[in-house]
Amino acid sequence: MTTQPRALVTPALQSQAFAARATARSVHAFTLAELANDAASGHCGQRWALSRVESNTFHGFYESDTTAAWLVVRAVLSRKGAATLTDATTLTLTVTDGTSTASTLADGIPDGLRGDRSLYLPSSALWAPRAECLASHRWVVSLAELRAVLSASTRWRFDLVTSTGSSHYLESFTIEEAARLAVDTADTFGQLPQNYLPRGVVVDGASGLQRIGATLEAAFDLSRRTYHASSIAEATPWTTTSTSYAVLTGDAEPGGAAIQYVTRGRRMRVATDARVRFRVRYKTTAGQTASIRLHTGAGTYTLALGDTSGAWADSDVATAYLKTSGVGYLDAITWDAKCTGGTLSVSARCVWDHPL
Amino acid sequence: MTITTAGRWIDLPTSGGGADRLALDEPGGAGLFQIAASNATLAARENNLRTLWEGFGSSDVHLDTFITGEIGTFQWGAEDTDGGYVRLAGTFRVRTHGETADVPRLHLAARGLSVAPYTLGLVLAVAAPGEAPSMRAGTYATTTTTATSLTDLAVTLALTPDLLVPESLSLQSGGGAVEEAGQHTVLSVWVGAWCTSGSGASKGAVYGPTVLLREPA
Repeated sequence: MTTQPRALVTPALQSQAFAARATARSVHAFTLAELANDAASGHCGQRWALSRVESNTFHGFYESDTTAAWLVVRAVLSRKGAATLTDATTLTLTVTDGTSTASTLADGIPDGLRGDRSLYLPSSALWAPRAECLASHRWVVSLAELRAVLSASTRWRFDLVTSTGSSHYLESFTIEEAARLAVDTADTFGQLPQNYLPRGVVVDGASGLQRIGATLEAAFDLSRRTYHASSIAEATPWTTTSTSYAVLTGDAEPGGAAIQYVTRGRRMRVATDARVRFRVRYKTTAGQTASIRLHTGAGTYTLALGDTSGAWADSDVATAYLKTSGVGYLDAITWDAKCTGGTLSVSARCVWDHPL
Repeated sequence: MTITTAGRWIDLPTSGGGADRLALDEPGGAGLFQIAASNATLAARENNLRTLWEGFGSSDVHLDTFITGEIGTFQWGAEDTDGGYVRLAGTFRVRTHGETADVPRLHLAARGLSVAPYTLGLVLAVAAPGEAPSMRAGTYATTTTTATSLTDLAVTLALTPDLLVPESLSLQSGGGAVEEAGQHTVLSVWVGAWCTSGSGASKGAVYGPTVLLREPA
């Protein structure tokens, strides 16, 4: 295994460099390798973001079949009303694949995210304007460590249990994939640029041109974005009791239409819509089933939700498309749902890349 | 004029299949490498553009800027109970748009309404991590409406390289040796709304605010 550090730079490589009859130089392949590396792992785009929440349980989804190797986790505390400096907030993050759960330091959950530390506001919270006395924290989570524990599925779920001090908000909580800062030949992608030094022999195999091809494929298939990741406190979920499709309670505009969320699908093939997947966390009344629909500019997509007998569960995954030829290349998504009886509750919804 | 990408992904059979154009002894024609470079450039651009945050909004926006009409006095410290709507969307990695020197635009979309005769405003601002928006020119953008029925609202902020804050990363598993280290650039994104009514008796509303990165203008 060879690991080579890399800076986050996207090199410019003009088509003219590869013109017919032009002299092929090592710098061309060298730059192409670096460009492919950047495309594959320099822009990892999955994330989960919560804003201004208090004590409760929240869920987010994640596809671990990705070019990312690290997650950057950030939490920002702010003052709620008048500050009491002895108030403390704890955060407990676990990650599950539905079978196994990562929850310990050995599993890859760092100190401070296991409910093991009290987080406080700075003393300036007593006198400074509210937005100027934030308490910011940052952690890094290794996907390799999580993968050693979570093996049943590449589709993971983050569970965050927040216990906020009475004078605290969790003003912001984000999990974002970090861009790769190295090329690692142990990965299935990534080409070491120095394989193309002047007078060097371009060979086949892991250090040859095929590796650039694999890296380009990873840039297309595995560098994913999260297009939508809405999470609501599990104690106060979106609900419906309707037996025909209806907007979820708590997700409606005045007048009853569903709240719409604008997004931008990755525009790789111009007007060909971007293929995505979506799933939800939900529960049904015992003996009842349900369906939830994702509406996009490209169509309406239905996800069947089985009976969970009143327990929270993760749905299956369904495929959908985002329109990439709309005004400004933007698309808007909405949700509605129905159940056969009782109440359908939904606490998390996620739409993410599933390139075609 | 220089061309770095055709602007669309062109399929290039690779990865060891029978049609693998990069296999041993395959002729490496000019077109082959032009396609590879074009695809890589396009992917570097498009992979960088993504949705960063979505909120639920508020049906009770009645707090005005501290000085009416002066957005520089927007009250970023407001709480929902004040009739304000302020959210720290988060701190996110933002890079230049592919091989260009341009930075993607930050775009805030929402739907909102005001109440006559008042104005509802929406503000999108950026700041260094851990800091409140300075409201310095170029760090924020706004839109307003007097519509009393729900209307689409959009704010686009043209980011510039000086707004991106370098942040060091030291990536290591379980307290062991550093496996990857370097710098990326980040910024914090704030979203807010105000209503010139200044009274809970006359409320504006904002629904479904979403922040995303778009291609530069």
